Amino acid sequence: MKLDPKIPGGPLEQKWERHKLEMSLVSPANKRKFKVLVVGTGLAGSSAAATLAELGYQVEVFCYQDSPRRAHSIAAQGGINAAKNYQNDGDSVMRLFKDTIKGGDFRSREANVYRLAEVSRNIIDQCVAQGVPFAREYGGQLDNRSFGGAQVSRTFYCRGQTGQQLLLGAYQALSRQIGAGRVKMHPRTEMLDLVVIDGRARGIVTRCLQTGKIESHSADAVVLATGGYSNAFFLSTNAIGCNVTATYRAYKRGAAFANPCFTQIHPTCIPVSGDHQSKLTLMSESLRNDGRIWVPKKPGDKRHPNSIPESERDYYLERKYPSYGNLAPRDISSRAAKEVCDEGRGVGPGGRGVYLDFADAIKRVGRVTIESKYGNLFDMYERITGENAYEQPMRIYPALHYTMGGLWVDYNLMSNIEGLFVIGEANFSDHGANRLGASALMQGLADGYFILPYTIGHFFANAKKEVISTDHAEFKRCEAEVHERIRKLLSIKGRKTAIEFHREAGKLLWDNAGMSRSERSLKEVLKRLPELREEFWRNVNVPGTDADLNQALERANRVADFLEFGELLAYDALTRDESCGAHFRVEHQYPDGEAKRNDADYLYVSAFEFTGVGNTPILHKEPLKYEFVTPTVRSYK
Amino acid sequence: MNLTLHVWRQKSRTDEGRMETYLAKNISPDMSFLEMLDVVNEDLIKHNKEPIAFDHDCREGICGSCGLMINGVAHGPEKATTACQLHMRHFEDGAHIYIEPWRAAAFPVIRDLIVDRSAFDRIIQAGGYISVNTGGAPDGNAIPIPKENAETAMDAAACIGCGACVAACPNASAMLFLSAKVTHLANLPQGQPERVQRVKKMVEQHDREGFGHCTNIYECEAACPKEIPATTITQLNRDYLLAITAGGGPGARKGGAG
Amino acid sequence: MSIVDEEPTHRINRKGSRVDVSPPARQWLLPLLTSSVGSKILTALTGIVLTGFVIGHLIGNLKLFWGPESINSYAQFLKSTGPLLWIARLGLLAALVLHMTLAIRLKRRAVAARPVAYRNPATVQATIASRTMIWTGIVIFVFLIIHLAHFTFGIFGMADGVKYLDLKDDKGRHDVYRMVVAGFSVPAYALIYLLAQVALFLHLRHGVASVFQTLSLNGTSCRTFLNQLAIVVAAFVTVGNSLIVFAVWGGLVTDTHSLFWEASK
Repeated sequence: MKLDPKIPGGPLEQKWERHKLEMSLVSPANKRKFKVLVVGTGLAGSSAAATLAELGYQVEVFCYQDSPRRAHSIAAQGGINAAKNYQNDGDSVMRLFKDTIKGGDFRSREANVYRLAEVSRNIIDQCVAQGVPFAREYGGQLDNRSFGGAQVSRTFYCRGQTGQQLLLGAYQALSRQIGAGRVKMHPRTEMLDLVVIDGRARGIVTRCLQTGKIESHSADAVVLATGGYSNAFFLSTNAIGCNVTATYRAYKRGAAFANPCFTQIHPTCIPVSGDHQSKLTLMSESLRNDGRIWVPKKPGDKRHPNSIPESERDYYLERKYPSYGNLAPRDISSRAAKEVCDEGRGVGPGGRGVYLDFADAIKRVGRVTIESKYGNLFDMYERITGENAYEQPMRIYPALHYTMGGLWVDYNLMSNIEGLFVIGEANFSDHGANRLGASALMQGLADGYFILPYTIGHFFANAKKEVISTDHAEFKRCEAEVHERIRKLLSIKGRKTAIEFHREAGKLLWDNAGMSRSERSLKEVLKRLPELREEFWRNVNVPGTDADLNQALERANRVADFLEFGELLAYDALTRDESCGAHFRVEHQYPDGEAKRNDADYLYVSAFEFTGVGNTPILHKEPLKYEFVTPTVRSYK
Repeated sequence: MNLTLHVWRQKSRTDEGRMETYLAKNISPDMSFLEMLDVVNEDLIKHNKEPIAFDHDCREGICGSCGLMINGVAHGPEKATTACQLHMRHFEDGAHIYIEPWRAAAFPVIRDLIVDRSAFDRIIQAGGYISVNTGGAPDGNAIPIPKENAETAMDAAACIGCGACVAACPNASAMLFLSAKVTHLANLPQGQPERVQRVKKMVEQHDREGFGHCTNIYECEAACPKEIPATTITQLNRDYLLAITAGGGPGARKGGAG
Repeated sequence: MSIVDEEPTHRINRKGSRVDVSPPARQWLLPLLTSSVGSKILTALTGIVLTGFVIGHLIGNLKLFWGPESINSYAQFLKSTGPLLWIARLGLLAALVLHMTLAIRLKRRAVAARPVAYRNPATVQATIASRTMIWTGIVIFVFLIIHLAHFTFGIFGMADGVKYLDLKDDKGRHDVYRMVVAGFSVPAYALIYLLAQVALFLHLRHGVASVFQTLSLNGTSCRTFLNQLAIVVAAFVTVGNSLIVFAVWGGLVTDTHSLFWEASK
């Protein structure tokens, strides 16, 4: 396997502009001869599909939800970063670039990140033109808020529903193309395999979730925009349906999977309330702008938070990181929370929680201001917990939230399989070992609106044009494999449900490969996960048939992939014998508990090649070259 | 707590369907309504029965997937709450709960509690957008937008497309859904050029889908988990009246926020 | 159903500047008649006409309390307007027919929009009035026929062996006063009138408030006010009409005296 990142030469500031000039174009008349399959309709998928259709390509789009508008980007709350410097506080493309590189703990590609910062500005303009109702100041100008990991205000937002509004903007653009007949939409359709012929992605095999029909689709390029794999941990802030199936099956067909162990824990989620819990709910990180995080100084202090005097509270983030305080990056504040809970100072049922207190902010700016900023979040908190956060502090705890790892892509967002493009959270490219808040929306839209539409044209212009029929033997073989797997799932009729296996595997990963990892814990995963997988294929019970809507079958099919994928994640975490960003190996820390990076040995991207289920994958290394910034110890003190 | 559930079961679009009764035992008040259904389903699977099919995804009240008629009320008894965010602490121990799918000709049942809401997508496809291609947009601050208009637009844009308004409306009308999008775009300067055409096309599609009409009963507003106000329907009525009397020219005769 | 092709909204005059032209009727009439929102707007407009009539009708009727001279001369005056009266009558008839046709069509549409009913239906904030418009409307229509047959065409009912339409007062005018007194003295008729008033109250209570919403004449904050206004209008009509029936029934209005009138002996 050869991994060539294809990073253009020249100064950082000119790479993308130059690359755009150097890329070949497809003439307008020829564009309609090329067909693209886009899988997933989140920010990346919808924006890419709409833009490609506007350009004139034939586009077919797939999503497992009943409507493209429901992809999980919709749940992003806080905002989207852009280097607009509207606040005149010294922001610039270079600063956003540096913040993102540093936030990623120097495990991302300079060129990609710079390009991301560069196009961030166009995203805001594009979204405003689409009618995204961003928050405004009284003068009618766009409002900004600040976010974790940055000292400037560059985050644009729509109350606590920024992801929803950006996705609806992209969805509307996509709807316009569907209405005009330029995009064929396949809702309630799940991709179950990638078809690769002679080293080039030629199409996909899908299952219609309503009728169970297995179908092949042939095209000139396949774009995966299928999001992340946080649900490998069972409990995460992702939607129940989010899965690794599309990217994992592409991996099984030869695509390299990069940095699977870079999984982000979000510091501000509502704590788990019991075993019944099916998912975790995130409270926007923007809450940290005004909330102060604390725990009692005394372990086991069971008093009501309002009756604990100021002198007995430990505002541990402000204490440890005076310059960033409550806005310290996600991984740092998550681990800090785990630390105080491990010391027995956690609050709420089960003792896995810390307080996020708005009393001071309400005193400072008034309840009305706080309500206008976070009203819907406070309401949501009350609905779930039954507690009023205006009157007493919220309880929060970290939860799995985002995965920086994903399929390996080059500068053009193409994987090592020719014709297979991967965008948004599904790829690995921009966030390194840790993503900054409000950057996921930025990356999804950057990929979909402003990068892929250029680079895919370059690919088409240089690729051999040939039509492959879905009757081709390889399509038939993939279809048969999908059929066989479904038949097998339905025929086991064991004693445990797929959800039980999922919960068990998720707990195994969360306990051993979650917020902190060690050689011992990771080996535990590598030992127990194969056992669980073996039991799954012997003892799972999937009721019903494959010829209609069968949600238990959908779930089992996804869980089966998580059971294989979890091993890859743990293996990557084991081979990366350093701490960096969200990947925290307890063996590698400074005396104060900070992550200890090892640039001498690990300044590379780990990209894995599939060698068979249960076999050790082959690790390929893409070295990271830092030409413009010097990796330093990431300090937020 | 223990509950008795009366649930609509229907195998396929063509199946007749019927109510069936299930017992939900040992339910924690901290569970969400959907987690309660998860428990019932896990139990059904263990007894080799087919679980109750219901749409759900984000489980944090924003994707709009879930939609259940709970004791005759869309999304259940709590105001401004989707079924996934409805917690069992709002029910009494021993309660009987009737769970039905959204009922509308335009929302045919696919299975059990799952309905086909693609009519909503087609209404948006008919005109619920601003025709702007990617690239070449002016600077985001080039056109100032009064805060009040941005807020009104945002209030309307909060719609999650769940279909509760249709389910709750005695006429099975989708006016609230439709008017939310019309109001969102009509309050922004970017939405003006297509304002007249948009409202006409969207109403036309709404009617074609077989939704009922609005008779100002306001059940939609009460059911809406995002509290979209019925004043958006006022805006729709006004824009529609202006649209048909202003003829087909580009742009609305009365620009700006309505 | 489709909306006709667009027509230009302006033309260019000799000086080369744009002049607005009104759109042709078919462009607004067709959607007004056929679309769900358009039909609703027309229903509201015709509803305004009918409400106006009902209020005017009541004000005229209240003249009964001032005795035969007051009401009979008013009736005479209405008749004397000749063609104007017929224009008004035809106009009202047209409004009524349109109002009913649209309402029935919309109702059928609503029924078709929910072919399978809920097993366990419930409502949260809907008023009874809002949910029974079609039924109160039908009751009012049936009553209207009875009312016309009763007083306008005098098909049934007699006063002292004289047909209603043949009743004359001392000035030779049609004696509306005696007709009404005779009519409401029959308990069965009085009861029908009173029942119709209940339906009318409900219909107006929702209808009047709805007009403002449908014609988008309301602001964001005045829904409560308009709701109360609707109740006041509906109550005015219902109480006013019922008062006449009760007054006759209770003996306050007879052939010899009324509230503000006493027959000279």
